[in-house]
Order: sequence, then C-alpha cells, then structure tokens
Amino acid sequence: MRSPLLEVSDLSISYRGRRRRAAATAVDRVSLDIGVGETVGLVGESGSGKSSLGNAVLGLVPAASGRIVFAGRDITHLRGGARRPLATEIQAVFQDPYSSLNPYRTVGQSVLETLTATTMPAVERDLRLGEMLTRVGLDRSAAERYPSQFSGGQRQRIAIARALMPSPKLVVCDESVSALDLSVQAQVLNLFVELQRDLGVSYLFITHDLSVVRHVSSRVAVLRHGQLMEFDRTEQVIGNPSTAYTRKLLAAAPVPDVEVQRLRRAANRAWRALTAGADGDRAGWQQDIERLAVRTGNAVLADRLASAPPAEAHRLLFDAAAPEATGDIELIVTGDTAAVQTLAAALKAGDPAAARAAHDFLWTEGASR
Amino acid sequence: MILLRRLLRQPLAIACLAVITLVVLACVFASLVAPYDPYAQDLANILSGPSGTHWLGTDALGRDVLSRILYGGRVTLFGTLQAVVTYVVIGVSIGLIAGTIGGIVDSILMRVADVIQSIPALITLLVVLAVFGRSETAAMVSFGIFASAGLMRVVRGVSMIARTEPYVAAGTVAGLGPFQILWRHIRPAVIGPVLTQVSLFAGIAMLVEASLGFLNLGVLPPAASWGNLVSDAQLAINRQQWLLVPTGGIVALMCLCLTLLGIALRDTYSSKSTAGGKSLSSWRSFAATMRRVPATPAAAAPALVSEYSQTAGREILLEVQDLSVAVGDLTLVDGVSFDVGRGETIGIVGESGCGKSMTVSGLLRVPPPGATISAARLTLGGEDLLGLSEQQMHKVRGKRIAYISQEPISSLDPLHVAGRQVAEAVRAHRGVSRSEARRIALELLASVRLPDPEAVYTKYPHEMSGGMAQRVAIARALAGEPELLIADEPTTALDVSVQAGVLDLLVDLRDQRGMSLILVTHDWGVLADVCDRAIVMYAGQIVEDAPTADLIAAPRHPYSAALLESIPAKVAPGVLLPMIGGTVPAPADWPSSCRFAGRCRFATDDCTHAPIPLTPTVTGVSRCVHVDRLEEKEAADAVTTA
Amino acid sequence: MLRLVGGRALLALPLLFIVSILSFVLASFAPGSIAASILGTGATPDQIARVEQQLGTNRPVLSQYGDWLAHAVRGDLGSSLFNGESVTALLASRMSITLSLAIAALLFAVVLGIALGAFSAIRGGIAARITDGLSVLLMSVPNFWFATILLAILAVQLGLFSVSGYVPFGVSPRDWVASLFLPVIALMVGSMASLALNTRSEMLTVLKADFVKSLRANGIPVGRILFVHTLRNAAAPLLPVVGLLFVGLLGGTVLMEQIFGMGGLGALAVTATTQHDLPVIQGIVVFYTLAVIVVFLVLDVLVSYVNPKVRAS
Repeated sequence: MRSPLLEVSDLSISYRGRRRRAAATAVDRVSLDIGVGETVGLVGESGSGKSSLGNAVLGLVPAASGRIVFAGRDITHLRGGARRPLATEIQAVFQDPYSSLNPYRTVGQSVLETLTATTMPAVERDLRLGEMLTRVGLDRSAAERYPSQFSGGQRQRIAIARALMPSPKLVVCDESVSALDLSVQAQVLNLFVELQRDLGVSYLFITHDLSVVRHVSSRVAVLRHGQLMEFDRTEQVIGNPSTAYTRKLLAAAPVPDVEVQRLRRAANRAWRALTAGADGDRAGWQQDIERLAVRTGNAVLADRLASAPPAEAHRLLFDAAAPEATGDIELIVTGDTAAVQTLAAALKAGDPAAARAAHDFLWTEGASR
Repeated sequence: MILLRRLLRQPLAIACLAVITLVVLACVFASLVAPYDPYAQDLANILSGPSGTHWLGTDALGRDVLSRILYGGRVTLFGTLQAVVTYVVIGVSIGLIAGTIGGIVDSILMRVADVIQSIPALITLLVVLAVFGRSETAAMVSFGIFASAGLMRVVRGVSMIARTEPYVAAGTVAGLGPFQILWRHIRPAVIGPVLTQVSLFAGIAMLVEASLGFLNLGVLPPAASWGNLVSDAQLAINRQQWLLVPTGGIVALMCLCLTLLGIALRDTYSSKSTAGGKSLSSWRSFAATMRRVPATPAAAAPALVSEYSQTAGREILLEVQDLSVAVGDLTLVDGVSFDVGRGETIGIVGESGCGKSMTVSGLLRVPPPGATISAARLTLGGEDLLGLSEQQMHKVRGKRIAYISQEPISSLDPLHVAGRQVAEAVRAHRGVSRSEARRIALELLASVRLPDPEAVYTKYPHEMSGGMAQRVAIARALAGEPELLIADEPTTALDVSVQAGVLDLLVDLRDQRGMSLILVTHDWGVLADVCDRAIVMYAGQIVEDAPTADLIAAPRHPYSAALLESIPAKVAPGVLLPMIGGTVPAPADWPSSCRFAGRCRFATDDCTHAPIPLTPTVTGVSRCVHVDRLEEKEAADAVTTA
Repeated sequence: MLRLVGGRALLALPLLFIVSILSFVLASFAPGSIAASILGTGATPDQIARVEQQLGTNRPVLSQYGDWLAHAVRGDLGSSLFNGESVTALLASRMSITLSLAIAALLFAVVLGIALGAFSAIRGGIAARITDGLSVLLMSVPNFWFATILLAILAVQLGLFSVSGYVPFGVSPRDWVASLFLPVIALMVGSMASLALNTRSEMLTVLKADFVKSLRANGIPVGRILFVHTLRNAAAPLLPVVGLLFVGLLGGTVLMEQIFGMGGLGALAVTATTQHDLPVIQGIVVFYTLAVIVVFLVLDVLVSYVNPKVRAS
C-alpha cells in the first residue's frame, strides 16, 4: 500500500484550564490517515474534538502528544516561519462564509492571500486569480468587489478559491457546508467533488452531518468526547456501524421519509416501554431513558434490558405500560416491513436480545435508506 | 476607505468636518485672517459688544475679541493636538500589544489601566503643571497618557475579537506572519473604533485645555487661549455679559462638531451588518402598522386547501388569508394563506430568505421595526386577530399562541435564573401568587423532562446546555397553556441526539395538551418526523401546500422537487448531487410572475408573463403551471422503479 | 459578596501605595521649594537652606516618603509645611464641600441620565430626538462656561441665588442646598448627558437581543420587559461608565469651587501645588484616590449583583 498523504497517530490535544480550572482534553489519542486524492470524513457532535483535530493539522493549535506526519514529514511541532512553506500544501475552508472573509478586504486580496508564502510573480498571480474565480463559478470581476456584495454560497466559493490557489495537496474542510442552504449546499458539495476529480486534492471533511459525509467520503472517522469511536470505510460505518454511539448518531438524525420516521418513532416508543418494564419505575422512565440515551448510547439500555426478566418486560409492555405502543406496533405491522414484524414478534415473545437487534436494525436501516 | 466613503454620505458629518476644518484653518492662518492685532488695546472702546468694526465686540481692555479667539485657538488647538497624538500613539500601540499577545502581559497592562483610570485627571494635571512650571505641553501630553488607558481598552477589545475571527485563522493557514496578520486583518477592524474614540477624545482634550486656561494655569496673559478668554469674560460678568457668548461658544461649537463626528463615525462602522430593514430606533418602533386588505382572487386557494383538509372533519384553529409582511419598501412575505387545525402540526419549510420566519413573526405581530403587516383575514379559534390593538394582541401572545426560537440560550435573559423566567410567564398568564407561580414553574420544568427541576430552576442560561435551555424555553412557552405553539427552527442549533429528544418532547406535549404546532424548519427530516402537513415557501410566497407524506413522495412544485432531490441522504455516494443553480433572489428582485422560473428546469415563457396563482393538485395546492409535467415525470419514475 | 469586597480592598492597597509614591516623587521634582515660598521673594540661599534643614525637605525623596508612609499608616497625614496645620484636619474641614458637590452631582447625573436615556430608547420619535440632540449639546458645553452663564443669568441678572460661597449643612440645610444648587447643576449636566446617550444605546442593543423577541412573543408584560429585563441588561455595561464619570466629576469640582468661590479641596490643591506643600498635596491625592476606590467598590458590588457571570468568577 502507498504511504498515506497525512498520518495522524495517537494525537492528543488539550486546552489549558483558565484560572485554576483543570486542563481539558479535547482530543484523546486519535489515529487516522488520509490517502492521496482521498476524502476522509470526520464526524462528531459539538465537543467531540473534531474541529480541534482539524486545527491541529492546520497548525492552529498545538498537539499535546502524538504525531502528525504529512507527505512523509513530521509536522507536529512546526511553528511560525518553519511552518509557513506548508501553507501551499495544506489549506482550509471554514464553516461560516460570513466571517471567514475579512469584510474590509476585496475578494481578490483575500483569495491571493494564500499565495503570500510563494514566490509567484505578480502577472502569474493575477492570471491564476482569474482562472480560480472562474473555476469556482464566479466572474473574474468579483476580485474587485467586497465580500458583503456576495451571498453565503458565493462566499463559500470564494473561500474554496482561496484555499485552492496554491494547489494544495490537502484541504481541511471544517463544517464547510453546514451553514449553507440545501440547494447551495448541493452546489458547493458538487464543486468539492469536481475539484477533487480534476486536481487530485485530498480532503479532511469535518462535519456533524452524516448524510454529507456519506456522500463525499470514502472513509469516515467518528469522534466522541475526543475519542475515536470507529474509523472505517463509509459503507461499513454507515451501513453496519460497529459501535452503539454511531448507531445512535445515525438513528437520531431524522430522514426525509415519513414512513421511516413513523416506524422509528413507534419503535422508539415500544423500546421505551420495554425498558420501562425492566426498570419498574413508571413515572421516571421517560427522563431516565433520555438521559441514558444521550450519555451512553443504546448499549447500556440494552444491558439493562438484558438483565430484566423477559416475562416482566412482556407483561408490562402489553398489559399495563404502553397501550399506545401496542397500537403503534399493529400500525407498523400493517406497514408490512420485515424488520418491524421481527421487532413486534420479539417484543411479544418477551425476548430482549432479539428485540434489541430488531430495534437497532430498524433505526439504522431507516438512516441508510 | 469604505469607512470614509460611508461617512461622507452623512450630511451632518460633512457639516461637522467643514466647521472643524474652517476653524482650524482660520486659527492656523490667524495672522492673515484676524482683523486686528490681538494685543492692540482700544481703551476708548472697551466691552463694546458686537459691532461693524468689532464683529464679536471688544474685551475689558478694548482688544478685538474675534482676533483674540483666532490667536487663542492656536494655543488651544495645538494643546489639543499634542494630547490627541499622545493618546493615539500610546493607546493604539499598548492596546494592540495587550490584545494580540494576551496572557500575563495583558493582565498586567489591564491592571495598570485600572490604576490610571481611577486617578482624577484634573488633579494630576495640577501636579504636573507645578512640576513642569506651567508647561502646557507637559500638561496636555500627560493628559494624553492618562486618557490613553481608555483607548487602550477599546483597541484591546476590538483586536481580541478580531483575532478570533475565522478570517484570521485562514490568514494563519495561508502562511501570514504575525505582523502581516496585524496589518491586514487586525488594523482594518481597529481603525473605525479608534477614529471614533479620537474624535470624541479630541473634544474632551479641548475642554480640558480650556479648563486649564480658565484656571489661568495655561499660557500667561496677555497671550490668549480659549480658556483664559472665558476667564476674562467671567471677570467682566457684571459689566458686559455678551463677552461670554463668543469665547465659550467657540469651544462648545468645536466640541459639538467633534462629538457629532465621533457619533457619525461609530454609526458608520457599526452599521455594516444591517442588511435591509431599518435599525431599531426605540421600543415603540417595534409596533407594526396593521392593515386589512380585501381578499384577492388568489386567496380562493386556501378554500381549496381547506376543502381537501375538511375531509378529515377537523376543527380549524388558525386561519390566515393573504398575509403579507413588508419592511420599509420591501415585501418579505407576499400573500400567504393557510390554516391550522386543532392538534395539527404544520411545517413551514424552505431555504433562508424565503420568508418562513417572517411569516410567523407576522402572525404573532412581532416583526422587525418599521414593518407593515396586512392580511385579509387572520383568526384564532374564530376570533379576529387583525382588529386587535397592540395591547390586546399582547394578551394573546403567550396565552393563546406561544413561541420558541432558534437559539435556545440567547432566547433566555442571561441575567435571570431559568425558573424565574418560567415563573414570570406563569404569573403573567395565570395571575397567581409568587409561591404558586414557583410551584407551577417547577411542574412545567418537570413536564419538559428536565431531570432535576429544582436544580434547573436556579441555573442561569450560561450554565445550561443548548438542549436544556430549549426545554426551559418550551416550559416558558407552555406557561399560558397555549392552543398554538410556534417553533421557529427549534432544533437547528442543537446536536442531532439532543434534537431527537426535543422533537420527541414537542410531539408528546402536542398530543398530551391537544396543542397545535407550527414548526418552521429547513430540515426535511424534521419535517417528515413531526409534521402532518407542510407548506413550502419560496421567495416570500407559498409554492406548495400538501400533506407531508404526499409532498415528500410526490412533490407538485419544481422547487420542492428539486430541493428534495438535492438532499445528500437520498443520492448514491459519489454521484454528483442534482442541484438547483443560482440562489434565492433578494426581495428587491422578486418578479411578479413565477419567482422560481429563473432556476427552474421546467420553465417556459408561460412562467414569466403573469403572476402564477396557487392551483389545486391531487394532494394539495401548488403555484406552478407545469404541475402536469411533474406528475407525468412521477408516473414515469414509478414505471422505471417497478 | 464579602470575598468580593475583601478582594477589591486588597487590590486597593497597592493602588494607594503606587499613587502616593508617584505623586510624592513627581511633586518633589517641582522647581522651586517650600522654603522659598515660605520666605517670600527676598530670601537668600542661606536662609532657604536653613529652613529646608528645619523642615527636613533637603533629605532624599525616598526617606521623606518613608517618614510620610510610616505616619500615614497610623492615620496621620502629617502637617502642612507652609503653616503647620494638620493635613488630616485640613482635609476634614474641606472635604465636605468637595464630596457634597461630587456625590450630589453623581446622584443627579445617574438618576436623570438613565431616566432621559430610557425615555429616549422607549419613547422614540421627535421627543427622543430632541432629548438626544440636547444631550450631545450638553456634553460639548464646557462646564466652567455653563457655570459662568448660570451665574450670569440666575445669580447676577435675576438674583435668585447667592453668587458665591458655601454654607455648611450644619449651619442651615436650606442654604446648604441653595449654595450647592448651581455648582451641582453645572457640574453634572455633561455627565448626565453622556450617561443618557450611553443608556439609550445600551438599551437599544438589548432590545435587539433574541430574548426580547421571545419575551414579546410570549406575552410577558411590557413593563417587565422594559425594566426587569432590558434596563437590567443595559445596566451591566453602564455601571463602569458611572465609575469613570465620578472620576471626571471629582476633577470638575476644582473648577466649580473656583467659580463659585467655595474653599474645597480643589482650591486647596491649587494653592498647595503653587506652594510646593508636599504633605498637603499628598494628603489630597490620597483622599481623592480613596474616594474613587470607594465608589468603584460600590459599583463592583452592584455589577456583581446585576451580572451572574461576574459573581461566578
């Protein structure tokens, strides 16, 4: 196998505690790599450390330990002047199209900024500026204007032009399409894909949106509280996640399909009722489940369920706890989905292991549709 | 440069600049301009008052006041200049050091600034004057030094904020050194505030110089300065009071111009973000102009909508006909009509700039300042909302229609604990005692599934997570037991796992309380998850209105169809996403005919001739003349998949 | 709360130390000497040297300062070199004038300034424009000029107030008020005007906030939105401004005492500087600094009461 373009190994990042507060670990021994011309998605919720990792690759925050190797060269601790030549090789496109361009500088000035570290002659710079602006779908005359005269999507195109000016090998895209509307997001995502096809650039694509990652990345890393949950081929992570956390992340993002969402909601309600039975605390179950679900993902819920006597779960579900769940299950069954039937059957049989499998399947299946 | 150009668009600023320039030039060239020698005494003609020979009169020794003011201005203006130069040089450089280096250097400099700012300047100047033997320069330079602590704070603050801007990070990634960052990115951000402060400070420095002159601590008589001219005038107060007018007046005039200029400068650089709409000028300017319009023929459409929905035999809670919201000259919402049944959830979906939020702001009558709201009909449970006064409408808000917003943490007052904000709403809507309100607030906090209501009650917004704050906001919205809850992008700012919990909560609350829900969203997943019916908006208009399942399965408007296709989740990985070219046009560019035609793949000449009305489809209504072609396409797709 | 006050007080000690040593050193550099001013213009260098010897002013500055400090910590600020009066007594006899002026002016400026600013921010329209315009105008008017005009019109022409002099509260509360009225008005208008403009702009900033829209949209009573929420949020950034205004007002008392012929600390400061009377200058500077520290402390307590984030840190 060829050596990767970027290799991050055992990287930890911590932020100094402010005023006697303990230092916080943002990234905890994470390893991943990006091949030449590849897109790797980096997914996580806020506070997962995904942006910190991107910033460390960009040299914006120091690494506490571990190594970042770029094109065979250790760049972990490069700072200041020593780091500057790397500006032509590693670039970035940030999230907010409004604040990532200085409002007081013309588009041309902003786009040319990434050539500061090069020795390209002025004539050539201007040529390239025109070329690049056209390439991202803007007019050459845009160079003379100020960012305030452009829409969010156009500004993000400008930011992409700026990043690609020095023909970098790697672009860190930190939530680059998250602030954009759907139609504009599609335009910008396509632009990313086309540019990669033409220029062979690699992307580290940081986002919270799994559907975006699924669309652009060949491999995905899932981060949670600074720790790497899994790092694998996209089909694998999305289609058959190995951790409960990823499953939960997939299941939590609603998909634009009324039927799937209805199934999920019903499954969720049935699941809650089932776990409530195991717990026996009928008044507090809703809060409990939600807290646990947020903090730990489904694995713990499953464990709790597994430790409850099957008969108890069964009785509570169908006799007392959730008459509305029964109704929903009937509704689902008429929906004629094999997975739902399996779930219903498992619930009726009071078989927690089977119920858990069916429930998980139902949720993740919906997400990948 | 942009700053200067914007500044020169304000007539008042130009007038101030002109006056300042004129006075400064006249003083600098006093020897050419002044009609008399400032020391020439005319003892026959003392304290004369204004006359043809002495425009501004003469003083107690018969000297020409105008000439003395012009010569005195040299002293005062030069003193002011010395103070200003010192102020700028020290304030800016120290401010930049503190703001860009930060850390311990910053805290030490801030401590020093604290000390300096707590010393009364005039007292210090007395000491300085004594030490340096009435040296005006020493006094004004030290005043500049003392005052620079204020400028330093401003520069520090602005550069600290600028330093965290993503464009600075982008500059660092581009390989800029620290000085390039400072010059290219920090300097432009600092320049506006600095000019403002300088202008305001120049006025203050002039007052201080004049005060010293007034105390006769500046230049010695017979030399004139603006301050000692007032002092002379004061001595003659019993004999000729006119003398006070020009001598103090010139100081007041110059200060006034500098202050106004400073204010104009501040308005110039701080107004850069007000795109469209008027800026808020007072609480009263919130009040919208209400207008009742006759129903247009196009408003026949909601009848069609109701017709299809009446089959469900539902009770209509909210009825909206031809609702428009205009801010200034721009119509942002244009003739929106729909209704909401009891217990129903309606989604309003579309991209930003399409008028989704403005529609619900119009419903609640809380639009941005300077808005005009018009409608043919606006009823809630049969009661006419359109005819209500602002006071009456305020009683409807929260009690019958409640609202939660997109940014949960900033939707709560940062200075009050969560529980008090909920209890406040309870008291407002139920008129109960304080202790009873507290009890109900705790119940509400429990009902939004906050794990420990007692603990949350005493938390401040900055101590809460986004999900927690949104639950508090929901609890507050429930305080009046509303029939309709309007949620404007309630989960957009939240993580997906938190979003799931909040959506579950909203759905359960709706079911438990029989509330209706209007959910504004741009997320088709959220729409599919909770909404019975969906309204698609584009460029201020409704383009489609249909049950969510039908809309998603078979959109009847090209915009809905194109948006749905461009969702990454629905497209095979690696394939280019089907996309709509261009962007939503700005309100000023909305055509009267089809507003989507410019981006539409079905567009023909028919689309650009006349306004397109909403017309019924199999599932709902659509504002498109090519509905049949969409239906054909759908049928064809169905064949291929089968 | 106690910890906040304690912490602030601890910070105040080094401040007092720095200010006193700075003024001491600075003042000692002044040309001329106390001996010369005591002896008058005809004195010979010999005589001057002898008097300096007696007063101890020929010793190194730092040793003089050490002496002063050693006494000051025991509450003894020394005595005037010029006439031997106790500095503490001098301050005590005159501070009531200066403090009456400054504190009365501060109270008026705060109450009226916030009221005017709030009026403008809430009411809007022409009335607000007039208020704002007037505020800008009053901010620009030199207070000594304004005072002189008041004097010219109200006292000289109409004879409504006594032209000058200060009547202690103990002698006649009515005359005390009358004697303070004009100087306080003249002193406070500028501060009032600038506070009014600040209040207006801070309130408008708050009114634009997200939470105000939420409060309106949820039918919270208007009075509560304006006063419990908006004004309180606006107060947080305004309180430090009030502190700076007080510093300015203290300085302004010097002018007012001069114009209205009130022998307060300002007048004392002016004569003491011309006479190089170090202990007196020292005493005045320390007193002013203390006054500022106390006011800042009060404001800090208020800020922490208003803003929970400050309280937490």
